[in-house]
Amino acid sequence: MSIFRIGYSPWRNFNWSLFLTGLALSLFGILIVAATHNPAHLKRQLFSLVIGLLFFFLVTSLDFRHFQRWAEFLFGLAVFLLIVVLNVGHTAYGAQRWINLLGVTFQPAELVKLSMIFMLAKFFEQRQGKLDTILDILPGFILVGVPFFLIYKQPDLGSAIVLVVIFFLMAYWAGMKFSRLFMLISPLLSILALYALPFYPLFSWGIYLLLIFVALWLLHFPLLDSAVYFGLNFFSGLFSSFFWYSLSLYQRNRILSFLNPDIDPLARGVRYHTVKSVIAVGSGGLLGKGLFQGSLTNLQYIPQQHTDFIFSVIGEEFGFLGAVLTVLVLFYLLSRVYLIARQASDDFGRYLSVGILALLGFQVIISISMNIGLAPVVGLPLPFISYGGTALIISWLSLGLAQSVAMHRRTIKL
Amino acid sequence: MTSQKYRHWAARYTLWCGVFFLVLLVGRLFYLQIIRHSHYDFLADGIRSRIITAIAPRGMIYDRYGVVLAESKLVYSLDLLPYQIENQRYVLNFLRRIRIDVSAVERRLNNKDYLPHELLNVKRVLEPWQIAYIEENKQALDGVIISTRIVRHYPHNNEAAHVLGYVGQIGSAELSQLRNYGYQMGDIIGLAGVERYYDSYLRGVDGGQPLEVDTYGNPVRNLQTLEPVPGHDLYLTIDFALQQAAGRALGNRKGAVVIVRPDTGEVLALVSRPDYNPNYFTDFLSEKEWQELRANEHPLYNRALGAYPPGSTFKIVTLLAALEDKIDTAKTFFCEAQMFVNGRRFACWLAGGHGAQDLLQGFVNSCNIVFYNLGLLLTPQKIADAAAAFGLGTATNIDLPFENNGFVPTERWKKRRYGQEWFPGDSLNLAIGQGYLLTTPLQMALLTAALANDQNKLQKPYVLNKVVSAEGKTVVQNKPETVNLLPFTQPNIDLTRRLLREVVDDGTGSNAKIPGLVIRGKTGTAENIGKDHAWFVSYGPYAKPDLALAVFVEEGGFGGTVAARIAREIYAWYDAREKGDRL
Repeated sequence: MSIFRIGYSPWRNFNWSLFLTGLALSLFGILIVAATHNPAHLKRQLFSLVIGLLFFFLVTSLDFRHFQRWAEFLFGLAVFLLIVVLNVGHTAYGAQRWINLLGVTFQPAELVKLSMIFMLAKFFEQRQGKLDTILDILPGFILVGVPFFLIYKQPDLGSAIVLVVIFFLMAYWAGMKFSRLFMLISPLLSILALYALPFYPLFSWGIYLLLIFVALWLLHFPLLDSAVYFGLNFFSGLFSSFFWYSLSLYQRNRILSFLNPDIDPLARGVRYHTVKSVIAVGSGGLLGKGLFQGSLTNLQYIPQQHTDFIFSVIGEEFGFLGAVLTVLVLFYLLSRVYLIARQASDDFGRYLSVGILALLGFQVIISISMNIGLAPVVGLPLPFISYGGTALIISWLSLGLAQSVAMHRRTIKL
Repeated sequence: MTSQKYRHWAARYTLWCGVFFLVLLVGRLFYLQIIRHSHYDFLADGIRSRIITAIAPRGMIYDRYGVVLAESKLVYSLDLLPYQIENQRYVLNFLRRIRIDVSAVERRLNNKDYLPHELLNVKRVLEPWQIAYIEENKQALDGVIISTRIVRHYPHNNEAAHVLGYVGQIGSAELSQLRNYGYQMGDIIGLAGVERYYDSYLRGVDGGQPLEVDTYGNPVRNLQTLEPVPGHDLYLTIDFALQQAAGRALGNRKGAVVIVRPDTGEVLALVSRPDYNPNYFTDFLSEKEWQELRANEHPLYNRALGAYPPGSTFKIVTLLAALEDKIDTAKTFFCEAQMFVNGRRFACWLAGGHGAQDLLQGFVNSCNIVFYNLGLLLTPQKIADAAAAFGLGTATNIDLPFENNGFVPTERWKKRRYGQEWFPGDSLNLAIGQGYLLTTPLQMALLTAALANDQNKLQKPYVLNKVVSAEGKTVVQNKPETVNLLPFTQPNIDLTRRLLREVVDDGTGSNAKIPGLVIRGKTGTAENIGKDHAWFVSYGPYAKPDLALAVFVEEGGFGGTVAARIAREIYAWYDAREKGDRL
């Protein structure tokens, strides 16, 4: 027999470590933004933090389940804004990402990530773990596909991939088999096998298709599913030149130069960012050159050092100890979100937290990786630390949602 | 419950995944910052100053017989390294005293519009006496740097400028397109002509010592020196002596002469006037040079590839369309200097009228009334088809930039563009090469060449013969390419050839006639808002023709006079050289 204890203040469950870690990271981020010497950035980042905290407490004080009702509306709005931004958006750095509303510019791509997590959480809750055939997951796939396509068109490859990763992790937690997930994303590998590998393309593609065929055979999927998976692989390969060349030139070159650094040996072209960033981090040494003392940072050698390449500033000025500490604190924050997901009392809350975990986790890992030469440059900010209003506010919003899941869980006593 | 079990595994794998990435990131940081620290610290020191690039010498450009048309020349140039300058006012005043324009660089210095390590170029080519002054006062001129530099040099100045083009600093538009191909800010690239079209062959690969100077600009150590790879040399199809002769013949008139080899499509000469001196672009343009460029009417514009109404030279096309349509060649028209269609007056150029003319006489005498009637007898589509067979209205895809497509109007186009029907008047204009019709001198030269070769083939024009690497290996060998075989019957083509000869022997083109030589051609006088444009398209000077040429004189007046005489001069010169060669 179980007794529901409802009615006591949820604030007793306030997850202090989550909040304080996020706050510490944000303040640290403001310090680093200050180190990149742009007073205007500093002021705007402080302002964004205040807005972000307001949202955090607003969302925290509400039961996250209420948001379920708004999910469709928010998602629809975000997709609409994405379409608008594609047509009238403000262009910067060669991509249309910003939209201007009442004098405030923001990126709808950030909003779509969060609202998509809601939609997916709702969808997976309804499916109750039954995700066995292609038809079962088709609606979820569409939920990702539409915004993916729109963001990909901007072009913002990084954010588009974030959507896929969110879907992947949420579906996995919702009971989908890994083999199926792998088959879902395998068409991307099919394209890579043809274009990005420095071997004979048709040969490697042939081997790849053979492997997929054998895998499908061993997995004993329903015949229709196997046929669809194989077909997707085959046709995405067949039309790979279309997909590959729909990436813009600089994106292709970034991927190619990451896989094959010889393309640009003097690092004057596509590898410029990565090489300079790695040198900055490496020159930091054990203790770093000290705050405001990073010579490469001060000479502004690395473009985008206040946004996508902010980790290189940390690496240069605070050295190995500072960089590792930052990584550890970020991962500690992620582990809090992970625990909230594990301890959630219902599926919706769980999937919601997992989505947020994927959102923050992927950005943390890829952003740092591309700063230290482990990933191609795709343009993702480091959550809580990078300069960028929308990203900071959305990070705090997602933290607020995780906090809400933690606070409003129904305690069950046996 | 299976989903419960699954969740358990999902959570566990997510955790492992997180641990994996944590270890990966920390491991990589340990590798970069602890193990390889001294390596990157050294690189960072190097970066703090600058990268010394060794600029690859640009390839040479030769004509078909090996005459040098463009070469590389060593000059001394002047740069400033801002952070080393102690007394900016003194330095700038000194430079002003030796007559160096510092206004642009002064603005950048005052606005701090430069990167701390950046070299600011002040003058690309220093005079020897300027170098002497600077060297004598070196002690007081910290931050003033003289370096050698290889610049482009065109020994023949204006000659063939529109074929060769010129080089200059890469612009922001080009840079954004080419950045990923290794082009970077400050690079010298071809901006026109073959310099632009074949830039990737000519430029070579810059080498450099990426990281070899310390904070103070002193060399620390040679790390990896990448030797610059010199650019490839270009051998053009241009016959430079012929090019000069054509230029002399055209003189100072505005216009263009294009000469191609009939059987291959090789461009032997391509002249456009007014022209310019590509050497001016080597250094920053001086005020005088800039004025000179502006005073002329668009000297940078390549008129040989520009679109103009072809006038009566187009009657070649109308004639062939009529012959193919089996219009009776004996049919006689009566020219009384004008005719009326739908109440509009259409005139012939001969004030008194030609009188009774059949189709063939009408062509030789270039009678407009005959061709107006052909325009009414033929559908516009038939004329457009014949024009398309000669490649009119589409780019020839010559290996030069900024080519104009020209234009051939059709009924459908007029409906779409103006929402209007095709009027009989439009047919009349089209038949005599006026109205909406536009062709380039190059297209007209190729049209003539297609009639000049005995296989009736329309060739793709080209100016590049071959690309030869610095080691002497032929990298690219260009080959003639046939675009189209003329779809007309042989008797009709032969008849056209015969008539073209009559035009020169007894008709409007008699100014081009040279006794003993076989020249065939057609004159044209294209109506223009200002003075008429003069045209003469022709081939010769022997029974088996060596040259097909189009002469176009902008606002030159009557084609049979000015343009035909230019062609005559070119043929006469060519014949004299051939005879001289044979002696």
